[in-house]
Amino acid sequence: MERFKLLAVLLVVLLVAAACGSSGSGVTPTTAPSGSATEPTAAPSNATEPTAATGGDTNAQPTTASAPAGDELQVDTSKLSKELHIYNWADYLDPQVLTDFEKEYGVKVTMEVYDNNEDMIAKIRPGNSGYDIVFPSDYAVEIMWRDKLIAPLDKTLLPNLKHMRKSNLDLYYDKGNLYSVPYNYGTTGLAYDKSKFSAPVDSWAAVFDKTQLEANKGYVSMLDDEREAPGAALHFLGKSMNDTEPADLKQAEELLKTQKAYLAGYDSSNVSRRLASGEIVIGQIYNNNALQARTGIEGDYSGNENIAFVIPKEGGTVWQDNVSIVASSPNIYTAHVFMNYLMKPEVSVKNTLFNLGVTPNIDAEKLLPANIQALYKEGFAPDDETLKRLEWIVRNDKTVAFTDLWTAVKGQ
Amino acid sequence: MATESAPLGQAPNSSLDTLARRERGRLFGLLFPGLFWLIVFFALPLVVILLYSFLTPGPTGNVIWKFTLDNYITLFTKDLYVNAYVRSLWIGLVTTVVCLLIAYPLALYIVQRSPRWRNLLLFLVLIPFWTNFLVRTYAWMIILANNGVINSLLQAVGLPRQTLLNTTGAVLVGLIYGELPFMVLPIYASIDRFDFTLLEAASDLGASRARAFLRVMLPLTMPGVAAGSVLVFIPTVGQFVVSDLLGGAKVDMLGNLLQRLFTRSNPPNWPLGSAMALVFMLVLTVAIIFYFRTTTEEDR
Repeated sequence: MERFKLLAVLLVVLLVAAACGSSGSGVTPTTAPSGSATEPTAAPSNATEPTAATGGDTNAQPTTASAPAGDELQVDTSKLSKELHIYNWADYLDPQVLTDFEKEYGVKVTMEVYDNNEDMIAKIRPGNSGYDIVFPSDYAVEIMWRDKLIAPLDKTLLPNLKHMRKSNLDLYYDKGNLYSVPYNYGTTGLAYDKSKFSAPVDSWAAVFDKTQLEANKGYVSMLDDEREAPGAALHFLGKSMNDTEPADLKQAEELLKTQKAYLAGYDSSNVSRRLASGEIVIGQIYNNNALQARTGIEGDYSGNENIAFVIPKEGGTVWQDNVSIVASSPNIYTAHVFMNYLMKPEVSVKNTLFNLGVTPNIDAEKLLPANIQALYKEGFAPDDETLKRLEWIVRNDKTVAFTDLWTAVKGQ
Repeated sequence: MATESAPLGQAPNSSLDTLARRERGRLFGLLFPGLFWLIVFFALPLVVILLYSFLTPGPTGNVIWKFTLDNYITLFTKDLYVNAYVRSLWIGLVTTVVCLLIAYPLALYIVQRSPRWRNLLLFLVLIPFWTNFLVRTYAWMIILANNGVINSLLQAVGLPRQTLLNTTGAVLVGLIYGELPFMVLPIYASIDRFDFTLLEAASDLGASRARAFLRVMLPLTMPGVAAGSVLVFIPTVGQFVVSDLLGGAKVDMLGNLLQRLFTRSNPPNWPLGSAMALVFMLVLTVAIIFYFRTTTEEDR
């Protein structure tokens, strides 16, 4: 009998623990630093779900035929579906854009959000996800077309591709853009508070060299990401961030372990806020977050005039998020129309101002406010010279070594 | 449970007649909701985890249906995984012991107040629950930050700033703070039931105060201590929010490692994560059984 009592107690305790565990995980999305290079932490939260109901009468006949002819897409409204479901990163697309699209074409658009590529792929993989459009990052596009999860594109329905910068097209993960069009891209480098440094920072040594670290002990941060932080260490060592030679990885690991004692922390989601408020003075950061630290976020925190962003001379990371059509989508035509709509300069600029990324759309860039364009020039967007120093993060069966490296660094 | 099992025990005596069958049906009907709940929400997910832990991780975060023991071999042979267990168990242990050292005197103090005060004090212990744990953790960040409350005070009186946030110490403070009520309440309950005249009897028989406490009061309130310890220890070892926020993601606990394996690493490794979670559960179960064994020993 004692035994049973004990077991019963145990079971109850385990259940309670399990319940606690699950309630704990319920909060992860908001708390855990994102490990993904592409997660924009832009803009005041809310409004990720546009109220499609405001779209009004879905049967209203849109009058798009009156659009100026030329190379504009002639939309055959009879072929449009009633609804479109998009699956996107949080705070990545201006909800106003969806409302405008609904008004113009009478298609009810619903958007749901994810916070890393792996979650999104896991949802699309079984098929029948109900989503028509997704926003995979570079390497994810490759996984998805290889596994036939996204549909080949019909370029005749995408005339607005002409607005895209050449260097953002035809990339390694989708040669010829058969499956994806660029949406937003960015880089990973260092942002720092100019007032705290005597000379401009131009090297990863600022966060790996011991004497330089000593000067800012406790005020340095690195991205909480198993590829970005080790990637910076590899760049500092003069290697490629996709290098998987065990000896080089060991060296990078030691470098990161030494660095750890000087860090305020590993952080992917609050670097901009911390930089702006002076909690840290230098940190590895995505360029859009660096821009936020500089300009501030309305209604959240104010920017800091002294924040500068640099791609160190040893190299940095480049990433790009794209728009693709889910292979199982029943609304392929409407999805193309939407995709083409997103590439319209007037639309594209709205989204860029919303997520503060760098637009691959040349004509949209021209529409940006002067101050943002000036900041782009100042270094918050890569120029042609900088682009040469940037590397794409490659994922293959050898790069799983980074998981162990990262576990070792974090566990030290 | 005990009253329910009584008819089952009588069933064989009255041979197999309709009455017994009806009893059995009734019993099943009564047990069904609980059993259903346990099977669907507890046993089945556990089976899935068990299954996954023996499969091979795929290149894109998927799972390949190929049976393997590699996940378990990795866990038990690679230092970094063994260390993760040791570190988490250690942090859990320290948290539990400190909570115990604070909670016991506190509970004793509360029990000895007048009923009106007692309710007020208990109420105060419970009040933090009204605010989301996450928000309270953020509050600690504000208190401990480089430009935070404590450092501002230090600077105001001319003392140098201290690095408080993003240290193991900060994580421990956050954990102890968060788990304390779970230790106070069960101990309060068992001290409340304790007959204080026993202490007088002990001193009448010549026991010193310390001896009376150790030989009489502590053993009799042990169930509360045991329950509190388990309630604190288990969630602590699996914590990942506090260690991320207050430790600057530098203090890596098992929960953080699990979270990374499932969602952040490229590609995610669900099989290894599953194996890790199972071994973790096993370690905890063994620890708890051991704990109950040693604490109930006192009763015999």
